[in-house]
Amino acid sequence: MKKTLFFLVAIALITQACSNNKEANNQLETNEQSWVADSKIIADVIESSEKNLEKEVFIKGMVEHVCKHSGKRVFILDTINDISIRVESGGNISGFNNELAGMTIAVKGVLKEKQITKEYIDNWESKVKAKIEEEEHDHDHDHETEGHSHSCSVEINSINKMRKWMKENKKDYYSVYFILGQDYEVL
Amino acid sequence: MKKAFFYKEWIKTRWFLLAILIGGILVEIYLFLKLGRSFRYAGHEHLWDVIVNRNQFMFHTLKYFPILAGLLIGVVQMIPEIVEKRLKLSLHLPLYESKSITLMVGYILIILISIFIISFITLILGAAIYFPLEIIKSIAITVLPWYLCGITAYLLVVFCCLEPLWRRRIINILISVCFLGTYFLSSVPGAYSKNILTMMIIPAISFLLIYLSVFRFKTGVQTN
Amino acid sequence: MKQFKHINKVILVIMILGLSWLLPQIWHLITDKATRYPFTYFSSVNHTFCTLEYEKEEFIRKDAHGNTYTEEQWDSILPMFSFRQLATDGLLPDTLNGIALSVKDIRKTNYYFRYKPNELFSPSIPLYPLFESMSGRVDLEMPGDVFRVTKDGVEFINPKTNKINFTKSLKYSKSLLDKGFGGPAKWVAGSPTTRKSYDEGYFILDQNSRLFHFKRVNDKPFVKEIKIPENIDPIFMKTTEYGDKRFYGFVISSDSKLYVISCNKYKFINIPIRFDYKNDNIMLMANLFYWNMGITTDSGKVCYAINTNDFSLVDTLKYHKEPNKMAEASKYFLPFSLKFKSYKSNYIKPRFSAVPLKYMLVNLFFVILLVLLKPIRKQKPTPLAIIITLITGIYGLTTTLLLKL
Repeated sequence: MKKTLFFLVAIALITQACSNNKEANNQLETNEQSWVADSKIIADVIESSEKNLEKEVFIKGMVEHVCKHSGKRVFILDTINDISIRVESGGNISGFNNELAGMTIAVKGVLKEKQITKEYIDNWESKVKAKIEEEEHDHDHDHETEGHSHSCSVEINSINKMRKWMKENKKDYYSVYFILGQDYEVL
Repeated sequence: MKKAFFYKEWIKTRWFLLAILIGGILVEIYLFLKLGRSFRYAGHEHLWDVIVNRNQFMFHTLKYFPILAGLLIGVVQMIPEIVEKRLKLSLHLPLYESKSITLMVGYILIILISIFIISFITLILGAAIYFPLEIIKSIAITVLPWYLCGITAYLLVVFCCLEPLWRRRIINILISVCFLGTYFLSSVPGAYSKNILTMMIIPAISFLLIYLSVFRFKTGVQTN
Repeated sequence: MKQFKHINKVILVIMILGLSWLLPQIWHLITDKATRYPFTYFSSVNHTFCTLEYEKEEFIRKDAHGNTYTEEQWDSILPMFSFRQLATDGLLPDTLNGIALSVKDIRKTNYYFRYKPNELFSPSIPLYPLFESMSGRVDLEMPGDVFRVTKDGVEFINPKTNKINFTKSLKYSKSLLDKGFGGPAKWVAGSPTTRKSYDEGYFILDQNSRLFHFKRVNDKPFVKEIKIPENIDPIFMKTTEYGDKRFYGFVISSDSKLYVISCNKYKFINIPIRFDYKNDNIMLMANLFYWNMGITTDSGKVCYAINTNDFSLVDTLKYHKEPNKMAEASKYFLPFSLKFKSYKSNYIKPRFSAVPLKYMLVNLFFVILLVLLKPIRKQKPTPLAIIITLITGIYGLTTTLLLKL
């Protein structure tokens, strides 16, 4: 009788332990899936950027670049729309490891805006133009000079894009959106 | 006749066997008290770290208990037989010499092995409270050669004591020292894990060697 | 009972084996001599090997062309090695080979690596601490638990309670299993110490010979499979966490090839050296320009100079081990030896080695000696004694004399 009772108790305890494990597993999955499933592609978030500014957003994308020096920021890419956004570390994210490059992640964070003012863009443009003039006076066409010429033209293009956007949106600043990350999950 | 043999050996060795058992218990108590203090001083995580990553072994003190136990009981059992020449009597009983010696040695061997098993199991069960399976395996494989050494030590003491000639006895002692030395070649935990079979063959050979000494004793060799 | 006299033959064998264990040990104890090779370093200035030897109570510094140098000149031709002295003397060059130099950069790119066969052949306890690799703190902290790899993933055990943390174990196991991990592991490589500037976690080779990078980042599991090139069968890996963060560690394959796993997409890069992982030691002194790799074998030492950037072989220098006359002499009278210990392994097990048959002809001498000793022994050697001495030489002779066969 005692032996039977002991056996039954043992079975009950084992079953309880197994179900605890299953419960822990389910709880684990539920916690993870709750916001990851809600994550959107970058284009959707940028489209409704004004509505989402300073609010918690959930986005996903492929990690294009991890800041090697500090690991404090990554650039994630929306491969469908070819849009990328910067994600800064914050909240539960102490930093990003280099191996994330090429992996798709879902990020929970706050959508932030950095406004590049007209004055700043004007100042930037004048500096770039000064650099171009300096290179035009330089007769030594070595590779270094050619490289500088290329980077200057890229900067001018960027400046022109910014001005165009400002004109189209009737704003006197250019918005650069980024995410202040709170958490992320590798998908 | 068998009962008489056992009774004779029991009378001769009971207090020493008890002393060995108590000694073993005291050593284990000491080991676990020391372990407890190490945990309090260093912390559990740090102690696991030094055990796993720096090859520290927490139960070194146990190393010499089995060999001392084997030597002691061998001496206690055999010296009176030889000095007081009682063995001659035992070998002249209406019993095969091999059986006589098997009974004499077998009785002590069973008790000694039982004491070692109790010691080993106590150690493992005690360690299992504090350590995971991987460390337990390492502990087990590290102490097992020491217990085998204790058994070998007893058998070799018998082998040496039963040899009638001193000249040959010295050679036997040298062989015994070599055999026992093989159990203490390394203090790295788990170093013997690939050699347990050899470590088990040595006590088996030592057991066989006893019969050679008895044969020589019985035939009364005077030279060689 | 008479059958037990045959146990005498067991004594014979035991004594021969015992002597084959003891006599070589005693001989080596008396005659062993250290083999010293000159300190060798590849100069980043004159791009040649430079050596430092101690001969006749003075240091001789020279290069492969035979030029000798004073101590100060030596420092100048080996700036990567003597950078601290040069910096103290104000003589550290600003640039070298087109690269700007600073003490900080040199320190970051100077590192050492050692491999000995006994690292591979050593008992170990398969429990590992998984550090937080992105804690935001300068120093690494002990994680408060250790993990083991099982067939179902990993299990984390708390040392304080000696119990498994099921929640954490499930979380990390899931990450491994989702990436296709098949436990248990064949090997796990990592650096289980906080005495390093950063942590790259562990590399785990699963049952199906798939390699995974496993670490804890922001208190979450990070798992990535590393594609192993087809021709590589990795049997051992030693992780490194060097300041330049160029690669994760060194991998040894079953065909004794050495690779590094680059931090750039986990590329396997072959290091062009020849060595035998079971017998040879590796010593690496790396700097910004060259890797100085010394492979010490039983017959000598080979120094390799390897370009740090592209791992191409630049130069080699070989040293042959000076024959130890005493060791050579021992081959004539110690026909075989039994050892339990080896400096190439931490396992204790019997290792038997014998000299080539030609050396055993000397055993005839011992047989003659045995016969000549008949008047002293006052007995004729038996055929058994002669055969044993013929086969086992001094061991058989000694045993025969002691046991009076």
